Amino acid sequence: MRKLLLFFTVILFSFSTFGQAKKPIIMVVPSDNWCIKNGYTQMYDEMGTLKTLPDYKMALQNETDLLMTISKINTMMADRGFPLVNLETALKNIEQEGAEIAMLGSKSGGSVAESPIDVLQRTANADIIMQLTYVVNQNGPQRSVTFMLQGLDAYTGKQIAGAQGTGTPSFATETPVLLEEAVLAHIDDFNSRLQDHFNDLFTNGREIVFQTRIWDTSMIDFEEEFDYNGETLELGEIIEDWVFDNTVQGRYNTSNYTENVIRFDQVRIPLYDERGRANDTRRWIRDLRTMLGKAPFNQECKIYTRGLGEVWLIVGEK
Amino acid sequence: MAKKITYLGTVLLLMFSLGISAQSRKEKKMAGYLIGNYEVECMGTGMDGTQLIKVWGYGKKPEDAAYQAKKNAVHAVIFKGISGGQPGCMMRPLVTKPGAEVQHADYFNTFFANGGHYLSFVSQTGDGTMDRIKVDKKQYKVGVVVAVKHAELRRELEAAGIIPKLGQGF
Repeated sequence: MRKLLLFFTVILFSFSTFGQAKKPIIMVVPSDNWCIKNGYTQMYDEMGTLKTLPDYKMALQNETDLLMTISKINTMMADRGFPLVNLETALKNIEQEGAEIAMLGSKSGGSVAESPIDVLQRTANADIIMQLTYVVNQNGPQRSVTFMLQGLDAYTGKQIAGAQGTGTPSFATETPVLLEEAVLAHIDDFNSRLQDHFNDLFTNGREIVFQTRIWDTSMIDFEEEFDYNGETLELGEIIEDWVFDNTVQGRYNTSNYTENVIRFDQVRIPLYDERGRANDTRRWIRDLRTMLGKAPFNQECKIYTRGLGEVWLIVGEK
Repeated sequence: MAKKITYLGTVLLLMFSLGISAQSRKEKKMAGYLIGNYEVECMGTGMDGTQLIKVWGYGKKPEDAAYQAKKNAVHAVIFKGISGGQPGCMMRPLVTKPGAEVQHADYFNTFFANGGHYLSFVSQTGDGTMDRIKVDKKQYKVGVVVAVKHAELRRELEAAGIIPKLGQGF
């Protein structure tokens, strides 16, 4: 009886410790192309250079067709077991959060600490963007819709899924109906490709970008040599070896290596750590920070994450 | 005498088992397992989670061929994808894993058996008219337009553990 109880306890314990992988946040967003063509843009002065940015808020407030299409995609994705974050709600939340942070005060008169980088990071932070583009084609009395849905990994910049095509021309059908048909026609092909991406993720690990940088106040750079594990290597090479040891099948690509910056892309990190807990970029890089904090390096490091897919380790101080 | 009876019994048993084997082979053939070269084309998008397909089937009688065509339609959505015809159908099949058809042969044999569960996911559309071609003295080729509920079919295959649910594991 005791053995049986012990067996069930072990089973329950193993189930409770084996977490689920971190779920990516997906959001449908109109493409820059669509926003610019339909006049939903705002100008932004960046150090004297005027930049054109899409104005999602204006687009959602004025374009019922766009709202309907996004809503249809959201509904169909939820039906298929993958609810999405709604763009309009996310935009409202960001505004609301900003207002609340500005108003919130402690009893002693203190306000909520927020650095400029916190303000900058107060964005929707979707991991996968479903970029939507559609054009209503007019050919005499006939109309059709060209529809394009691109699934973009926000950090690697790769297109991981896509579906596009032009619907059957119609004489009488209204635009919303044509758009609805387009969504119905393409969403499952899109999802099939998205599932392929998820399968790849479970087999080969999550693909992330990892950058390591140096504070300009630091006394060392990545070319500083250390005796470590019986070898004399540059700090950058030691970090590179750590990345090799801690990626799925040693998969990564060093795309940039200077004394100040090393950029690794196509880095495949395991979805679970050695204790079976769901892994993310911060958890993954923690061991490297600990390693660099000890002898012979004795370096404090700051971890800076960008969503689920990008992490920076800045060496020298916190 | 006893030897003759035993011999006759053995022969009968052998014939009976061969008959069963032939039957199951025929059924498999009807299911599109052994011959998958049926023609299929997209006719457009139906209601949410449905696609309209024109599919052809073969049979000794037109009714048999139409029956076979329905089976082919479901088979095409699961294993082939619909790449020809009008826009609006899934170009990719529901099952993309190579060898899944063989791996889950028991499930699909039952699923595609005559009067099997596949009938829940397909229905003939329109007024029931069909294109009928007499291929030879013994065979008809019949084309019908059917609606396949691919969203429900996907849920069925997910429940059976043949394809993973979208985002399963997160």
